[in-house]
Amino acid sequence: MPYQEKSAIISVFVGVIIFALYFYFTWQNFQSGLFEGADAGAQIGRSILWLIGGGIILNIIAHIGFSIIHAIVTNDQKPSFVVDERDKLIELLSLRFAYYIFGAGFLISMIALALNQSFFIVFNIIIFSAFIASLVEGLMQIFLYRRGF
Amino acid sequence: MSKTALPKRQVNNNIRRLRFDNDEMTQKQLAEIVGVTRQTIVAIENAKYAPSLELAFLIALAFNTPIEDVFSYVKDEE
Repeated sequence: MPYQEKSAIISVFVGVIIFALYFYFTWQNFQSGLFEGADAGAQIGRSILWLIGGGIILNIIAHIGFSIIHAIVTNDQKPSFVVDERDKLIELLSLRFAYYIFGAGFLISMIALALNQSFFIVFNIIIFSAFIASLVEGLMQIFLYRRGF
Repeated sequence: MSKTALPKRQVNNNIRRLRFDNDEMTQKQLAEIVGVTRQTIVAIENAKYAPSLELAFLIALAFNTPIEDVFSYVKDEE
């Protein structure tokens, strides 16, 4: 299994954890009425900032940890981090699918906005579509590496 | 306006034989020479990936042979 495929698996795994945590805490805050009233916009903004910040930090920690474990398990003093033309093509193709999904999610959120839905719903449709897009991107990469491209 | 469907094409190769003829060069060794991952060499050998022109020339150079001895272009008549 190439390093990039393992890295994609880690990204999918970390992505699921991050978004599961986000939706869990958001749901709890929603039930406690934190996203209602005049302060709702600021609360949504804070939640999304936590998601972005936490996501970046968790991803960095996971990938550093993975690199260390990979080097120990494979006993490879000089692991191959070569990203060649095939890796770039797989990445581009996966990213294209991710953009389609995120674009569709953004469109749905605008429809929700036009239908007078709350900002909480609109922003969470965008966040959910970003989650699905990142999931599809990772799974697509794994699929293309396995099937051959 | 009429659309003409592009015929199916495949780039075949003799990399496995050339590796064998070159002191049984391993896929990893070839990958290191041309600067790609071993998985890319595996994909090219199995005709699952058509390399760029630059990579094709690099592979031919690694075997010190003309590119047409490494890769052949097959037009599927179906």
